Amino acid sequence: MKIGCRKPSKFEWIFCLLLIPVGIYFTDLRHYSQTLSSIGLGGGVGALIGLSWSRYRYHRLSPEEKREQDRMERDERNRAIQEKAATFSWRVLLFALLGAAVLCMEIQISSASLCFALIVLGVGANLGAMAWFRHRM
Amino acid sequence: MTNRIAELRKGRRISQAELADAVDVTRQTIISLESGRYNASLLLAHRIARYFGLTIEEVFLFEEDTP
Repeated sequence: MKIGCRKPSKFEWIFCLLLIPVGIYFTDLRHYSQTLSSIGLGGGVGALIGLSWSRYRYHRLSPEEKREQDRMERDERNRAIQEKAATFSWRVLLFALLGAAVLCMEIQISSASLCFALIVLGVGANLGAMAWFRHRM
Repeated sequence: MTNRIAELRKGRRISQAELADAVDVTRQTIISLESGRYNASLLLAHRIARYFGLTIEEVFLFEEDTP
């Protein structure tokens, strides 16, 4: 499957478009909500750019390549791999969140660094799990 | 669960890509099915069996039934 080369779903567009107003809403509020503002605005705009780029690349494919790409998304083995990887990375994140909550109570740590670390952990766990299950299946 | 997909495919001189196109999966899925690393869903098993003109039991063999 070509990475960054697919038709984004309606849900993904809506999610990005909702993040931006959330970011704008938190901009003028109290100091510690700047993190939420950054996540909303930065995440929303960045995701919109990424989805637009993915859609552009998809529409540049030939009809045969589009058909092949669509089939890869529909393929049951690929879906099974993604679901298993999602379940695994969700469990990893759940325990990481529990650990983060304990750390927050014991140590003074900035929420932005913690959010960033959790995002990196979640994405890393998901990609690693997908590679593992793709190899095993 | 084992299967006779590779045997049936080679007997009819069909490539993995052609079989994948016919049953609407990727070639990698066919490879994984033939090597036994992946078990097909009921729907995919039905499509494959119908493509070969056989029943599911004639294409896919449960380990208890394997001689």
